[in-house]
Amino acid sequence: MLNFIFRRFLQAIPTLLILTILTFALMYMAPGSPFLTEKGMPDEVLANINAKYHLDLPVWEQYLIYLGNLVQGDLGPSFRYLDFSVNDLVWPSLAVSATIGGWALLIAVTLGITMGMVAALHHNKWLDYTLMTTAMAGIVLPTFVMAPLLVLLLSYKVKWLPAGGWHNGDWQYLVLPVFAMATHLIAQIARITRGSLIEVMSSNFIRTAQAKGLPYRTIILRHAFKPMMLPVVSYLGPLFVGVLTGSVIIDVFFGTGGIGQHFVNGAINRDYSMVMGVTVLVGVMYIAFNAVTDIIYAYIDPKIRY
Amino acid sequence: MFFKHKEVAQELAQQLESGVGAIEGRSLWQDAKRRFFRNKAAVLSLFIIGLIILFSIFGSQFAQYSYEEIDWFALSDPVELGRPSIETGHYFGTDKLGRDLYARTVQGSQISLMVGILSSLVAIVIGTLYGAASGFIGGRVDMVMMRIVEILSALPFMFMVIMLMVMFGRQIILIFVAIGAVSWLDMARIVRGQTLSIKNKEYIEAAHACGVSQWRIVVRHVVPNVMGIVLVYASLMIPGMIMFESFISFLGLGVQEPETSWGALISEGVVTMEFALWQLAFPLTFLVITLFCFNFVGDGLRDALDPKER
Repeated sequence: MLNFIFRRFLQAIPTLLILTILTFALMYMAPGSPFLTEKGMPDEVLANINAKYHLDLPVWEQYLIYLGNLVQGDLGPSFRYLDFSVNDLVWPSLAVSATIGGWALLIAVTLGITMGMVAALHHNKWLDYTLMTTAMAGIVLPTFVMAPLLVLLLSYKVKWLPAGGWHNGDWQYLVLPVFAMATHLIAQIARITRGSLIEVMSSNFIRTAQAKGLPYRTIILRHAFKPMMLPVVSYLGPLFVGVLTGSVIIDVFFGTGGIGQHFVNGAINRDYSMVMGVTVLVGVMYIAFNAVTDIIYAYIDPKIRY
Repeated sequence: MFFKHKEVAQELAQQLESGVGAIEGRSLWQDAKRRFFRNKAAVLSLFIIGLIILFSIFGSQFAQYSYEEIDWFALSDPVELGRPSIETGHYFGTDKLGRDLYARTVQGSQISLMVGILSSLVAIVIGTLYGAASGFIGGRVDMVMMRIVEILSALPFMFMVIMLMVMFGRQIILIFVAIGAVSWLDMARIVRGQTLSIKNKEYIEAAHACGVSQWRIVVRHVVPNVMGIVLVYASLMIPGMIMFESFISFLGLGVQEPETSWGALISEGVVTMEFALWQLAFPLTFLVITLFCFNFVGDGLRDALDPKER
């Protein structure tokens, strides 16, 4: 197992390299310089600035410097907020994003699995239909639709919860962002769990367990649960992407100050290094998350040999 | 009893000889069509999608204003005069700049549907050819090609597309290409799996024996046979693409003014939803209904073309 984990993380290295090369190449090819202003600036100043950011060196040297900094955890300077490095701006907001994303993940997984199991165990009954219709609604309502709808209902109409802001993560300020992010994910997980459990319940080993006279609860929890989880675990990767994507919308819409806000502001201000920094950071997290998912999967699925 | 069988058999033999009343075979596609049209939700959804497409094409004929023209009269009091009404000709009201929301919704529908369909098309063409080639050639080439797909799909593409948009300007063509070019990965994987199972069929062997070139076998024999699966995933891909474009436009990084899309309209409507709810409600309704319908059609197609999935 240890060997497998080690190898899985080694496999992530070429992916990481390609990620950095791609982002770097995109930035290098981008037309225009981040320092070009309407007025223009004296050539000497421009040359100084270029030298400061190593823009005067050949491409491959720029890339190596960039990669070297990256390995040391330095995402580079922000081209827009000149006194800040990308790290200064990104790390505090990462905590916010992690709080919202973590809760959303937790709620999505627990609620989604519960909903899916209940639906599957009442297969083709009214409860199943109700839950799955709700899930369908959750699937077609993207986060950027869910967020305004929730605010409209719970903040403007009944005034139960604040419509935005962060306030050091008070729970009132957390509820709407977390649920706006989680609905879509809950729906997806519920559908996957339901399909998986229905399939598992019709397999031979469940029939054997029933024939042995095992209590219903034991059959579900001891025998059906683990194989049921396989497709759910393999959905964890896309789930993580959902949280990242969701966080962009959530941060912009609720003004929670998470990492997504920096990304979008960077994009609008053409702050290349910020956009690139966030992309690389997100990419690294995603690649690591995928590796962890694979390891969990190998742990659950007895068919996988490592 | 025995005689009756004999009579039936004789009758059948005669029919076969004369060719009258012979039992017609049904192709896979005919079967699928029957199954699909029995699914009421899917057919209704298809019908509604048709209506929305017609709306996006011919809707502007009924508009009283153009989508970029500002109605200064309505602008003076958007909440009262900009309300949806038949009399003023603003069927869906106006947006916060006094532009006719009906005309803008028509325009937005065009862009959203176009992005959804065209970028899916890009993804399908690349994905199908790549997957079919990889699965068909097999061996080391297959391994390398799939490893590339694996690495690419581990990249955060949503962020990369936005990066592209930021750096190369917000052109609508770029949205198609960027979204399409990064979402062919799943398609390639699915098609490869299908191809592997088709590869060893007798008709492929026959084609080999006749000296048909590799490329021609892929294009003429493999690709048409994976079309069923491709169609299913395409119909599920389109709503995903529409959602993606809306997502980018919602952030203000997608289509450029005065052009608009459902996502851009929603993001404008959100700002004013407290007092001018219609500015959010109309584009939102269109988006949600379209997404619903495409999902139902996709489910219907899957049930029709991929019976073992049920």
